[in-house]
Amino acid sequence: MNDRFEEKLRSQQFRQVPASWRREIINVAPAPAWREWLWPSPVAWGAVAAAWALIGLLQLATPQPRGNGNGGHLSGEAFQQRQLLMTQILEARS
Amino acid sequence: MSETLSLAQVYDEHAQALFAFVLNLTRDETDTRDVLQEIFLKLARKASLLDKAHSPRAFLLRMAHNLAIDLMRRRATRQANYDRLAAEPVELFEALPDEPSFRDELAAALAELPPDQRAVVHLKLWEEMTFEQIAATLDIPANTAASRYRYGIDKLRDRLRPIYEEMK
Repeated sequence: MNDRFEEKLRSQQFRQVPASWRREIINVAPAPAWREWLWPSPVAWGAVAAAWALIGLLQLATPQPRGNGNGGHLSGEAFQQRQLLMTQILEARS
Repeated sequence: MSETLSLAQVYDEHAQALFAFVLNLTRDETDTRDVLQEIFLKLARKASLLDKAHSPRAFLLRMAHNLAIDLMRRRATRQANYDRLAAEPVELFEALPDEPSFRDELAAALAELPPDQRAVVHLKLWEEMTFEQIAATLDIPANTAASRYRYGIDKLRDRLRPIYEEMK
């Protein structure tokens, strides 16, 4: 009886999984890898990003000393021009 | 390899077995869907999960069992009448025209089994696993799996004997 009974039970078919589930379950969008990585402390990472943005803005807003690309050394021609300009200013004052 | 494709393949191969197993355990279609969703979410997040599995089916059934048991425990703490809900009839089997009363009785009899016996009976009868495979899947000793099956099948036989004898 045992085997027959067990065979009888085994022959019972379970319901089919609802067809609509396939799409719902397979298309479940996992969080992107970068979001998983950031997830442990999104506030801290946001604060770091905001700090960098603030630093960038301050950098842009602060007037930079004008350089000529020679690390502060004037070329001969520029030096002469500046010397001439200074002379003219001094003469104009006197 | 496309992850979506591999998820689809895994679903097509194993979803029906997982559905039947989890529905038999939880007796709740919403919980069953939650468990399946959780399994496939884990697979989507870590596609390599199945790579090391000796038997993908056994691995997935183990995941399903653990998730279903967790869900049932959480639900049991939330609502004291879990046992009553578990015993409520659920459409477990395909509604074929033959032997509807036997199927209904079987579904009810399965619901009366403790979940640990029900899991073993399900894996033995409908997944056709050996006791060693069941033991590995449920993380129990093989002799425990065998004794749970024996207890479970005896209860089913006692419960279904009248209607089974009538059908013969």
